[in-house]
Amino acid sequence: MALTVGEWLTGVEAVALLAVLALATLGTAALFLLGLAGYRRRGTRVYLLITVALALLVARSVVGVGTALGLVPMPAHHLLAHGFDVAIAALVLYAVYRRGPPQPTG
Amino acid sequence: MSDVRRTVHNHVESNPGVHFNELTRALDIATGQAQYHLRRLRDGESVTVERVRGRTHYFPPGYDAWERRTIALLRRETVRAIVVRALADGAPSEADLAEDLDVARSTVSHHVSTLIEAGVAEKCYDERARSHVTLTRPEETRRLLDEVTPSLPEKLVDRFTRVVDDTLCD
Repeated sequence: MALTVGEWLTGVEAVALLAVLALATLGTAALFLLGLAGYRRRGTRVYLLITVALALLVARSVVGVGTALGLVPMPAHHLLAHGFDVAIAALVLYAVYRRGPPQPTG
Repeated sequence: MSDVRRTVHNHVESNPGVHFNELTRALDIATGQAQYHLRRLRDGESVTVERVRGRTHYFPPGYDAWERRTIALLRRETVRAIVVRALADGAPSEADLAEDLDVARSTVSHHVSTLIEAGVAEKCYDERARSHVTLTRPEETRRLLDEVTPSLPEKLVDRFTRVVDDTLCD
């Protein structure tokens, strides 16, 4: 199977990068599906935040694959990937923050 | 009966309450194909269907609606643990369940309300107004407990929700 990769990639590096990207896509997709199943069960704001953060992790892997295959230019890759990082950090920070202070039970 | 339909039928027979996605994954058949054969099996009354919280579960004939709902819920690890605890103890409180099973109160509350909604459990209150969970049909529930075991994806979803409930939910 002939695969065209970005011109900045050669030989062993290309194979290694594509292997890592494949594993990352599988792993993040599995996590995203867990998040989605959890959100379908609970339907709460926290699950929605976590699920969107996990979806952005998948998007990150997809952008990575696009760059390796020469479909996404390098500047766009950096902007998108780090933009997703900002969003993921904000989502998880907000999910943690809205947990609120400890409440006495009973 | 075609070979594929027989395979689908056998899978439902040996996995009562199996979920649609799980069936297509386990048998490695296309969605459309699975839908077609399940519809034909339903028409021939070889398979019955129960929708529990938006998910479609398939059963061999011979289970009534209560049993079908119960089996679908017993495919969740935490629900099983709550049911086992209620069978052993009779009427544990939600606080005891959370402490004994080491899960968040919100996890226990969620599963207990699902069990109550399905008619598997009910709540009663003691003189100090603490709520206790009792099973409506303990003997039948015990029998169904042995008929199903959670699959790996079901276990993962259950454990994921416990982690999120533990760390991020009230």
